[in-house]
Amino acid sequence: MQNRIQELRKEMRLTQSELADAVEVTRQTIISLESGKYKASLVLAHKIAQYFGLSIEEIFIFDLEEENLC
Amino acid sequence: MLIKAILSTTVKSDLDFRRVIKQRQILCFIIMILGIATAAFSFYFSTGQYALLSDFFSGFYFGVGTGLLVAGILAYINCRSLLKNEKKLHEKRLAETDERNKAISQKTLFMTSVVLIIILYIALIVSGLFSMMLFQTLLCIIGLYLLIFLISYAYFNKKL
Repeated sequence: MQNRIQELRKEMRLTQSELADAVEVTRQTIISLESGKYKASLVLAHKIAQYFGLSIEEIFIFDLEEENLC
Repeated sequence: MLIKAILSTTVKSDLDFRRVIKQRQILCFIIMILGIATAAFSFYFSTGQYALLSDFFSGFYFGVGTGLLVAGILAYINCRSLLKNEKKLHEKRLAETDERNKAISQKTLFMTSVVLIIILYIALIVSGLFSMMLFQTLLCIIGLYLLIFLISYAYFNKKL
């Protein structure tokens, strides 16, 4: 699963720490999310989507093949 | 770490976390009392007419008791400093409630459990060659481990 967190964060000129504080996680979690090492929970995905004013699907892009959904 | 994890499950704000830290202070007192009791036990049973403990066990229990006492005091001081500093309290809450940190803890516990049961199994097989008592002890530990696993599984199966 890919995501647009880094892209959106840079557009808004936010630091990783600021985003982490806003969604109440550690900076390391944001780093791991951006690098694709860690998949966000539904609650965190919702918080991030709400913060950027977008839907979850607009931020988190499901790879149908990778998730075995096709 | 486990107790911390149990006590932090319902934390959603700094106010909730402050309550958890206050609960931890009580836990610190319990640890300190346990430490004092262990050291006193060691002292009582290593001197006078009740000198039942060997030098090794006397030293061991006294060391464990002192360690618990010092750990309790340090943890209590840490809790106090968190309660006095809002910024530190907030940072600590984020670190402890962070979902990635929780996932790391869960995976680590799972891995540790798997390795532990493998080591216990190997020790069980090897111990049969040397000591019946050690074999029975290890067998009981493995049995208890599996029993706790089944009870925990049944509990979380209903809860989740």
